[in-house]
Amino acid sequence: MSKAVFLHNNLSILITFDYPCGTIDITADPELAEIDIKLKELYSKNLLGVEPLQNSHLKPGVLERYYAFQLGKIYNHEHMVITSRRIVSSGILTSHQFILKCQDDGVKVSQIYSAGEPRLLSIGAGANTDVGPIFKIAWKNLTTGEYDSTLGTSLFLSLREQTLRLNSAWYLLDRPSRFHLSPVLTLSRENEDIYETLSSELALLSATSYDNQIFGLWASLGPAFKYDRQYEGIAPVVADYYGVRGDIRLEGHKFEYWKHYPREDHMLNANIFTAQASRGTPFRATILRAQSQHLFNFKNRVPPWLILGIRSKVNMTFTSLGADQSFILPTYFRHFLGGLSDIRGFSRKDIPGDSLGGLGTAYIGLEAGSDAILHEKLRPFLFFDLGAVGEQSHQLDMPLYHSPGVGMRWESPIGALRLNLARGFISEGFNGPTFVANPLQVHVSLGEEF
Amino acid sequence: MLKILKKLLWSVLIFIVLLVSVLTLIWFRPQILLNEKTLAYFSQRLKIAGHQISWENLHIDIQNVDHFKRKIFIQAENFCAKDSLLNNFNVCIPLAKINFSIEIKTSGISLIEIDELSMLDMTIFYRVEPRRSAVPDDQPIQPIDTIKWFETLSTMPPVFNVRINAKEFMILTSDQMWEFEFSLKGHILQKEIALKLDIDAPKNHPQWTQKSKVQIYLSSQDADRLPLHLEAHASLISREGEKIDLQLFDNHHRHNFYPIELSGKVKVDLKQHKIDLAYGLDYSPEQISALFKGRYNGITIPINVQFGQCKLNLNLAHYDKDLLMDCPLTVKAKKSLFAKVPGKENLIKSLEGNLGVSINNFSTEALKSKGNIKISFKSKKGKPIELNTTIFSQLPSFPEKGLPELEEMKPEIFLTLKLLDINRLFRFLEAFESGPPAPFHSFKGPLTLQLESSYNDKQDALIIPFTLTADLTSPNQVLLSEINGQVSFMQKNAVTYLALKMNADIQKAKLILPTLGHRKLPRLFEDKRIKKSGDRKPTSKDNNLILNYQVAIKTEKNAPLYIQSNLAKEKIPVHMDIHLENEKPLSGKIWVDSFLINLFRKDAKINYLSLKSIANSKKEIFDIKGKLTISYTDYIIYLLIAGPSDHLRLTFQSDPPLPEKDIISILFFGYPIEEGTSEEADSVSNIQAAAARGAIGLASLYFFASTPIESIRYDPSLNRYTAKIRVAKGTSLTVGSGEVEGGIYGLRKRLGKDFYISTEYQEGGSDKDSSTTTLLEWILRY
Repeated sequence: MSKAVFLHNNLSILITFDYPCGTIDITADPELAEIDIKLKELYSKNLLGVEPLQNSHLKPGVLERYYAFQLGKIYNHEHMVITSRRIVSSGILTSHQFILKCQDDGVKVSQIYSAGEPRLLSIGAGANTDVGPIFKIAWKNLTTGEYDSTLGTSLFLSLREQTLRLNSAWYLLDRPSRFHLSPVLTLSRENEDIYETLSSELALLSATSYDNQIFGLWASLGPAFKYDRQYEGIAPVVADYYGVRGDIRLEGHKFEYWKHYPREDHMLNANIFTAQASRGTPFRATILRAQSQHLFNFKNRVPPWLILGIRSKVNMTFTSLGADQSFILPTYFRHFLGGLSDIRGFSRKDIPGDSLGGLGTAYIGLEAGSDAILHEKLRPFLFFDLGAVGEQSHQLDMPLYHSPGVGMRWESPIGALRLNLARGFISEGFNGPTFVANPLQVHVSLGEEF
Repeated sequence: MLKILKKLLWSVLIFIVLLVSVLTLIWFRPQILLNEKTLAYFSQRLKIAGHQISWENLHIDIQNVDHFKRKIFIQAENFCAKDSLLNNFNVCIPLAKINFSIEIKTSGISLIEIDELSMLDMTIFYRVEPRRSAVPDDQPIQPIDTIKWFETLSTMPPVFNVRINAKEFMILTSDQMWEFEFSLKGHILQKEIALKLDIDAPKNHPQWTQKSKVQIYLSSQDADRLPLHLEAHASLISREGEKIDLQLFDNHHRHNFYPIELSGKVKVDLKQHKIDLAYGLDYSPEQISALFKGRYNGITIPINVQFGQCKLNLNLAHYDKDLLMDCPLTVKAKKSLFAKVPGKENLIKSLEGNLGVSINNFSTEALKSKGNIKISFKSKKGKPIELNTTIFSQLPSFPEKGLPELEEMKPEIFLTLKLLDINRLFRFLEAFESGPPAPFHSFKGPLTLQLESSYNDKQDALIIPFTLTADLTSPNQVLLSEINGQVSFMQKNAVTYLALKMNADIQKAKLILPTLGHRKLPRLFEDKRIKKSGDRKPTSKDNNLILNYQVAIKTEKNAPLYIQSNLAKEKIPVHMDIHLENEKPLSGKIWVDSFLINLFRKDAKINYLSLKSIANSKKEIFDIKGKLTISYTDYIIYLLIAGPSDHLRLTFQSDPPLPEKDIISILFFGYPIEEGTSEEADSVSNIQAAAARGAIGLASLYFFASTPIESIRYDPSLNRYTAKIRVAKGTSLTVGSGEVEGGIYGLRKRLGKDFYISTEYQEGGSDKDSSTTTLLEWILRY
């Protein structure tokens, strides 16, 4: 009997994802030791429409900006979950779910929700080995204006970084739209081993997003003004500059669905900021940062038998200054490697080992883990990180920094707890001499996936 | 012409004279014909025909006793005869002697006596040819007519002195070698005859072990020819360890051949069944009469059956051979049956009965006899179980396979069974871990079953109407009921049809249910996912028995069934009118009158609740209608339940009218929605959605209404809920059907009032890498 119930529960989940109106009928005969499975309506259906919220203060169509699906296309359960998750994450509603209604020609969905008060105050605390204890205070007004623009401020405090941020998502069109203006004022202090800066940024970004059946895309573009003050490290003491900033993020829906439990699909995130000094030392520079993640669940086993991850990161600063003049650039334009986010055999921003950094860095990391060896929620993994730094933006210099390592990821009740153990190696080329730079680097993080 | 006639007459006369002269010469001098040369000549002729006979030192002596009687003595050494063509037969006798007398009679030459027959230390080999198709396989083998065989034996000439023994006697069948050993010796003048035959089972017999043997000893010491003294002993041991032991004696001293009086014992040990019988049998051409007694000892069926002085009489004198049997029986339950039962005297221990068989046309051929059988049993009065039953049946013909036809048997059954106290039966059953469920296990009182069947010629069926009366009580419980029904048993084309129709009228009932937990109520209906063998479509193998049943259970109009349960504050008055029929879902109606119950931490009143089966539904689905009233200081809330049981709709109403969300919040959390936390508001939305979609069944509703709920999450895509309930202060338990992996993971988990674990994805922007961070958060909405 227990096998029949187990099958019923799990097959119900499986068919619901792809076949919205599919039904499963399982019967078991204990005497014959037979389990009979009948599956009906196992075919995809198009999503015909979304019924508006009942008795809601929200204007019709406001929630469309969070849709991870397209009307008229094939219904997918994951897209609905992503949409609800985006809505709740934004804070505009405290809970949201879609209810499916099967029709002969497709499916329609209605929505159940719970709307809280419009203002949200949150105080949070966390920690990781890179930045130590973390504190965060945030305030948000969620339903400002006709189309529920948001206005918020947050204060992020850690030993390495303190940030005060004021931002808004201003839906200024006279109809529900994904397009909005995003004015941002950021004031932050960074206190790294090799430098200490105080920086502020004022940006007025125009932003929009797009979703199809495969991926979601977010893009923003707009003018930005930055003011940096250097307390330690090789950089101008004061620098202010202005320019144009653009961000683009492309994320597969499956990547987003499993974001908190990474297992498949792809993500690409790229930022560009082209700036010119407004006073002080004159310079012109363009910074480009791109990072990607590609995850593969080998044979799509559940729980994953083998998850392969390829992560890459390229940071480049193109400047009119020569390599010997790079110290004129503010720290913002220089790049470092090491730490939880890239080469894990080194401590945070430990590469190249000086406060000047590089104008170009590249990193690629390979990771292989399994949820089927120890426990579904306990993932042992192996990784190999490789990176290099270039004095010039268009070339990478020797040595190569690489670090093999092992780790364990525990899906704890309070988030993903990761433990990484890695050794840091430096070698002069692929066939050159290699020596150990760091015998053992330990990283522990809560919630951080990569 | 006359001359020719004369010549012819003379020729015939001379031929007759010559023939008579030759015959006379042969009669007075038989050596002329019966000598070694003539016998050797005939032996050569037989050899051509495939039969080889040889001997050494043949000696023939013929004496004329008188003019009509001759005494002949023949002796041969190493006499051998064999079938030289097929080698099927071979016999060799080292020394063979025969001394016999013949006599001329008007009917011809006949053998009048054998003075001596001696064949010692013979070796015999005989191969049995496989049966050819002369007799079709499906024809029954005709039994040996023992009566004729005895008559033939009695007309044989007397043998005065006989001595035959075989030291090797082998019979080879197609797959087995049988070995016999026998000796026969007799001397009429010395008034003795003895035949001894030993048969051993062959080594490779598929059924019997080599220890199996049959010994027959036939002797006579006090008669000219007969009677004989017969002793036979057969001991058969099967390869499975089953044993059959048969003894047969004829021990009497009399001068007449008839009646033959035999006696003996039969002992059968089939491991699970043991039979021990002693019998006496008188045989004469007019009748066979037998007396036997003994016992049956069952191992799997823990009973002993004692056969008293059973009498059997077969009258052979008439054309219609009559057989009568009368056998008193005592059936006793074995002590082992009561070994586990406290007191050991709880149930019926013995039954006195009688088995009577009357056949008015007995035949040994394929048991095609006509007659009837009567079996009756009766227990002593005043015992815990009083039984009185009689089964009367006409004797059917027994087919080679299957059961005899009902039409031939025309059985009639009369039965009265009364359990003076049903609790003694329950105690007995409990000892075997098969007692009735609570609360029925505590009932006491009588249960009576009466049935009187008759065979219906028109329907070709055995109709058994019955009445079962229960008058049961226990402290605070009553069950008074009368069940009337009928069982029909019919056979057609090797298919057995069994039909049960039963009406149960519950006249008065008050039951106390066992204490039930709030969190997991027992299922009202069986889990449809679990099939029983009865649910399976009948296969061709199952088609031999077709069972149909129709059961109706009804309470009387003004006498509801009262159920007392810890779940309700009052006795629940239940009415029912339900029907059970095979291959159909439960149909009818169950409804309750108004009663008080504790729901949502308040005294609630069930105004009405009814479950009515939906007509023509293939599944066990009920149309449920109900109304509950829950009174608060400021409001009265009405909960209306309607719809099919698998899709129940809940409607929340109040006086004064409140929004539905507020009603749900008051019911589940005790205050309107605006006074609750955001998670409680979230739960209210989930309950509202689940109620609208019919995801909350009656049991779920009761569970929600009787348990302190912390939060409820409803997954509309799977139409399932997950509820977090408060178990004790500061701890909670999540119950329900589980969450979809990944579907709701990772956003925000509530730790306590306004405290959450939040996992946030942080946009990197142009100066930082994107990452996720987990924070312990206190969140306030205002």
